[in-house]
This record gives sequence, structure tokens and C-alpha cells, in this order.
Amino acid sequence: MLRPYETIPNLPLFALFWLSLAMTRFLINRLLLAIPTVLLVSILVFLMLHLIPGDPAEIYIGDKPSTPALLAKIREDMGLNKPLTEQYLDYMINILHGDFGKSLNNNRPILDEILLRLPSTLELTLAALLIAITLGIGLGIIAAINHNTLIDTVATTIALIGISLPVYWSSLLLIVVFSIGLKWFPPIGQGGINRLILPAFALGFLSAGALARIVRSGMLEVLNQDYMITARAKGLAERLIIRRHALRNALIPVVTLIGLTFGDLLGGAVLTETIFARLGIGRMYIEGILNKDYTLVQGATLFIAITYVVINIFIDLIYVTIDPRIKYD
Amino acid sequence: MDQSMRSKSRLFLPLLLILLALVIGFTPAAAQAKTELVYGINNNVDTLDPNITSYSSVGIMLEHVVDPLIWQNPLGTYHPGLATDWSVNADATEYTFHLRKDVKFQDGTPFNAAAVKFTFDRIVNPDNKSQTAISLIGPYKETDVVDDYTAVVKFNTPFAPFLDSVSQPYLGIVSPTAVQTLGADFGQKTVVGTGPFKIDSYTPDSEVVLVRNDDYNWGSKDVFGITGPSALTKITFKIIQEPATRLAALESNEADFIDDVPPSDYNRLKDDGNYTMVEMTQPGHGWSLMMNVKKAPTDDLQVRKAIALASDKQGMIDTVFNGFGTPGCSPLTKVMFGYDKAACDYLPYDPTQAGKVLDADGWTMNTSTGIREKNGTPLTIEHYFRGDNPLSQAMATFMQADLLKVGIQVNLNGLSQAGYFDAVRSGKHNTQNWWDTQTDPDGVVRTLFYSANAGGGTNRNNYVNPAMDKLIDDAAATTDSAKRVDLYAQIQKLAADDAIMVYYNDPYLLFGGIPSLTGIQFLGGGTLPSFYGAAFGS
Repeated sequence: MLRPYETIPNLPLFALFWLSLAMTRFLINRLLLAIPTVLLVSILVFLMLHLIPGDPAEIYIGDKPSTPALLAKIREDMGLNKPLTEQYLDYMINILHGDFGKSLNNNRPILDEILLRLPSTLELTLAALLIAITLGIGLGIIAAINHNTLIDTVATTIALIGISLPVYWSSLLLIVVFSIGLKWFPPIGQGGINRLILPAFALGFLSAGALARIVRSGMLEVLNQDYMITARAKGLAERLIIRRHALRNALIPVVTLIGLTFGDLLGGAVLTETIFARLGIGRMYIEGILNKDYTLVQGATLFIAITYVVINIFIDLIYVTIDPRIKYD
Repeated sequence: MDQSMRSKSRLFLPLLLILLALVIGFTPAAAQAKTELVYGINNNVDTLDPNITSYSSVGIMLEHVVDPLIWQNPLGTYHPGLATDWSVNADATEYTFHLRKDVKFQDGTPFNAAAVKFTFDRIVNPDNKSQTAISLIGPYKETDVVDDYTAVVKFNTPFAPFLDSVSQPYLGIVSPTAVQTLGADFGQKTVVGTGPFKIDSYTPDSEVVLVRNDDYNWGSKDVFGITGPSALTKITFKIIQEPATRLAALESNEADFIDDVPPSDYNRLKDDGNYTMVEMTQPGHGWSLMMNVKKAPTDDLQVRKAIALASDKQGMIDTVFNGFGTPGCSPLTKVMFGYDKAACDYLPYDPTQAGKVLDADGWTMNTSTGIREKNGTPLTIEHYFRGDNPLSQAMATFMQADLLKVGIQVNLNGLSQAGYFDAVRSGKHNTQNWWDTQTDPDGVVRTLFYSANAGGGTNRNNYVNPAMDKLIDDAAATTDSAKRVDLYAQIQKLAADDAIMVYYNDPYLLFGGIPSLTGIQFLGGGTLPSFYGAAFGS
């Protein structure tokens, strides 16, 4: 059986060159395909402001004190006084210049607002991903190799709890136990690993459950393969059989799932960031919606869509690298 | 080979140990130095600029950074601030302020009449998109700088509420030099005022940190008990919007003081004994029901009277508001200047009387449906509310059950925000809820009853009465307190005679803090906790 991760380093130089050429072609291809996606998203995001019934400026003001001069100024800032096509072209030209517009609420550039929060959101998401992978794969393996025993039941139950607990509930539970009760971790803010552990765990536990179940069923399937019997017949140690023969084969679908999990975690961060009062893109987004800060929501949606498209291209690249059966075309 | 695999497989053990070390290593943070206060605040910051913001949370923070020309505490009682004394002309169109001569902004700029003019002029400049301050400054015309320390603020029409307005942080005086040199950063990164604290840092969505202004020696002894620098060296406002987390911050010693304590936990903390809990009646206008006088059947005065008489306010407070608040009597809550106690007797809870009023008006009970009818038309009210707001939903459900007892059917129309505004602005509703925080009675009654605000504005009662307009205008045109009180009493009487609204609940503002923190002043009728005079005891 060909294992690319073992064979690639030994490939002659020309083969590596061919591979990188194929990769570049694949990358360009995917980037070109991404353009219509991003354009479509931009049109939808742009129209969002105009599909809402009523005057967006008046909706933004709501019951807050206002004057006709203020309303006129907000309409002007929203660019509502120009024809629709012109508004869209202006919008796109600005975005191509890296200008996502300014927040209606606080007049700060939206790109700055996003970049300010990106590190904090990434920190939380990556920490949660680490917890999800460690816990998920660990529980999955333990459950599979102890199939139909009490250990399996306990591990599966933990995974089930992980999937079933709503993030907001588990977050509050963690705060009650570890912040108010034991006073081990502060319940709010960011900066320092002690402020990261609770939100990362609340977020990661959810995905750990799903991962554990996939790993368990993948492992169970692999453990029944003929080559497992062969491996045992060769007299290999059980630990080695599990690591080299079972886990590596069971992990291929798991890698795909981890890519998707990253997206889930970004979404879940909306709740965790709000509950733990953390700086973050999810929380910014929710507040933008609640404040009717349309320009911010527009800019942030587009940014997130572009990020998602880029992440997907990377996931495809990683997938091709890991699974030899998938080719660059 | 086997050995190396085994050692690799033990990677989990060190990882586990590291995790354990982390858990054990992070014992609770060292106790706060007792001159540094952490305040868990329930709302965010749009801009730190007090003259521009629409957020009351920014008012709480910036009240420590900028000083007002005059202080107000309690509502209706004024004390010298940056102005040593002031006078108002007969029709309340000109306010003359004599200013302190010993005040410097935190950037060293001297405070003078030009700074007052600069601040007020920038509030009314539409480019600045001021929200709260521009509504507080009313029919502002201009400020005349008579000399370095005398400023005359002029209005286009009589404006008695200005004394209240100018006492608020939103009209606090800012350094003209700082505004000009900082440009767009003024408000986004810092603000420079004359107050007892300076802005040290601002992290959006996270915190605003203030440090003591050591040069401050123009405090109001009448209001705060001190004139020099504050006993506190640092105030950190942590933005914690999730109520349960804000509570957890207090309970885990991360915060010394929080606002907007969740009502469901208030009594637990109070009974706990480890916290000082404060409840203040919210100033302005409580939770209430607006009735559209232009749409049948609420165009009928007797129907409106019956709805008011049939509304079980205490029942609603107990059910919907966790028992927090007192039954409303008037458009003005009980802490407001001009509130008239007599208003509680105008339309008291009396469902029997409500039935009699409806009987006399020809609305007879159809015993098979339980709904009253007149000429075959059932007595049905269209109630509109924000379906995405749990409190509006709960009030609507309670009201529906309440009015059904006297034979009034209430149809509940819970809509999205845009749909709701479209419906109530175009007058499709019979009833909708209202609630508002204000500190001067003029703003409250003008919002609710003034004719110019009917037909799509904030007067969704669509109530138009020249007699009411005249009372409101007259009350705004005199600074004679006794005369104003009398005029507001007449307004409250007229509003009850015409049964324009039902006043459900004068709600409480709920605060909690650690007991060693003392000397907090609740300005702005309780909405603005101030820590200038506060300190931690032993």
C-alpha cells in the first residue's frame, strides 16, 4: 500500500517540480472559481440593506432621539442618495481598495474593527480545535478498542453529552463551577491562558463529541479489516497495530471533519465570545445586527465569506496532500 | 524502534501533566489594590465622545472625565460645577454662566468661555452626528463669549429643561485643542476633559480604563463631599453585556460593582449578605401602554378609561417584572421633578368600575363568547409589539389575559423591528408599549403628548390637543420651579382625564457591589453612578 507521507520525501526533484506545478494550476483554478462565489455574495450582501422594508436610516435610528438633519447625514453615509447600480459599483471599488466602509455605530473603519478582533477569535478557535481534536480522537480510540465494554459506554456517553450540551449552557456551567465556586479561572475577558481555558473548553467540548463518534465508528470499521488480522498474525504489538494500521486509515474522514469543525467553531464562537465577554468577530457581528449597524454587518459578512472561501481552498489542498486517491484536477 | 514508538505514544502523558499544571497553577488573581475599582458595565461603547454618543454607558464612564457646567443632585436641585453661578432670562431663552478661573483641561489647555462655545457648537454641527447631546441641547441658537469667563447660551425658543441638560455628562465641556489636534481619534481613542479622571486606554468591546487626574481640585463639595483628587487611582469599566456573566464577575471578585443586576438573582445576592445591593427608581417614563386615539375602538374615551381601570399593574409587576418596581401613576416616574402624587388616584385599578364604564358606553357582554359587543362589533384591540423582545412578549400576554377578564379581546401582533415600526408609525395599532429614561419632565411629556410628535413620530397615542401643547410649552418657558411643578401637575391631570395611556410599572435600576466600596453618588436620578467621591474601606 502506497503511503504518500512516507514516499514523497524520496521523490526525485522533477517529480516534486511537477507536483508543485500541478498544485499551482489547481490553486489558480480554484481561485478563479471562487470569484463568481464572492461576487454573488457581495451582491446579496449589498442588496440586504435594500431588501429590508422601510428607510434603512430610520430603522437604524429606531426610537433613539433624532433630527431630520441627522437622518439626512446617515442616509448620506449609507450612500442611499445615489442610484442602486452606482451604489453597488462604489461599494465594490472601495472593497477592491481594501475599504469595507465605516461602522454606522462608531464611525471606525470596518476592516480595522475586524482585524482588531481577529487574533482573539483565532486564539479561541484554535484552542477549542486543539481541545476538540485531543478529546475527540482520544475518546473515539478508547471507545473503539474497548468496544462493547463499560469503558465504551462511558466514553460514548461523554461524547453524547458533548454533542447535546448547548454552548451557552455549558459556558455558564463552567463559569459557575470554575469561576464562582472554585475561583480557578476568571469568567471574563482575554489575555493570558487562564482566560482562554474556560471558553475554549466550552467551545471545544461540543465538537469533541462529534469527532469522538466519527473516530469510534471509523476505528471499528478498520479494526474488522483483513489487514488487521494480518498485522496481528505478524506478531506486532497491539499498540503499534492501533497506531499504524488502524488509526491512520480511520483518520482520513476525520481530517475532512476537522476542516468543517473549524467553521462550526467560528460560528460557536459567537455565543462563547458573548458569554465570556471576549473580544471577537462573532460578538462584533451579533452586536452589529442588534445595533442595526448595516454597514458593519455588510462588511463583516463579506469578509467572513471571503475567509470561508479561502479556508475551503486550503482544506482541499490539505486533503489532496493527505489522501493519495485525490488528484489535483 | 519499538522503544521509540512507545516513547512517542507517551506524548499524551506530558500533555496531560501540562494541563494539570495549568489548572493548579492558576489560583485566583491577587486581591485588587484597594484604590482600583473594576465596574462590570452592561452596555458597550459607540464612541467615548460624550457630546456624540447615544449610549448611557458612555455617560457613566465620561461623567468621570468631563465636568458639567452645573451639577444636579437630586433631580431639580442644582449646584455649581465649572460655572460658579448662573442666571436665566424671564422667558428661558438666555442662560448666563460665570465660569471658574482655576480650571485646566487634562492636556493643559485652560478652561474658558471659548471652550464652552466650542463644545456646544460642535454638538449641533450635523457632521458630528450627535445623538443624545443634540436632543438635550434643544432649540440651541448660539453661545456668546462675553469675556474669558462669561458665556451666554441662547435658544431660538424658550427652553427651561436646559438646566437639567447642562448638568449631564453629554453636555460636558471638552478641550478644543484636543478635538482639533486628535481629529478622528478624539472619541475613538481618547477624550480630554476637565474631570477627576483621565482616559488611560480603550479596548473596543472589552474595557475602558481611567486613571486619576492628580491636578483635580475643583470638585463639588455639595455633591461629592470632596474637592481634591479622588481616593481611587484607577477605574476599569469592563464591558460585560451578558447578564449572567456580569453577575459571575461580581461573584468571582473580578468586578467590585455591577449595574443592571438580573432581577432573578437580585434577592439571592441581597440575602447572601456579602454584597451591597442598591435599587433606584428609574427616572423618566416607566413601562406603559400607549393608546392610539385615532383608531377605533381606542378612539373612544370610555374604552381607554376602561382599559386603564382594568389593568392590574401590581399583578403585571409580580408576574412580568419579578416584583421589581412600583405601579405607575403618571407619565413621570416617582423620582421625577414635577411628579404629582395625586395622579395615583386618577385611574386606579378597579375592574368592576371598568365593566360599568363599558356597560354605560353600550359595550354589552356577549356571554357566549365572553367578549363585549356594540352594534354587533366585538370589542377588539390590536396590540403591536416587538416579537423578538421577551419583555414585550410577556407584557403583551399578561395584558391579553387581564383585559379578557372585563370582556376586551386583545389581538397580539408580534412583529420584527422593521415591521413593527412600519405598523405603529402608520397608526395601524390600537396599543403599543413605551418606556424611556429621561431626567427632565419636558422631554417625557413632549415625546408622548405633543402634537408635533403625533402622526408617525414618538407620540404614537396620536393625541393632538392644543390645550396640552400650551401646557407643555408654558412649562418649558419658565424656570420658576413652583410654576413648573403646577404646570406639570395640570399636564398629568389632563393626560388622565383623556385616558391617553396606562402606566404599568415605574421600574427599578438594580446595582450590586462589594460592601467595602462606599461613597458612590447616583447622579442623573440614579442612572449615573459616580465614583469620584468613592473609596474602599478597610
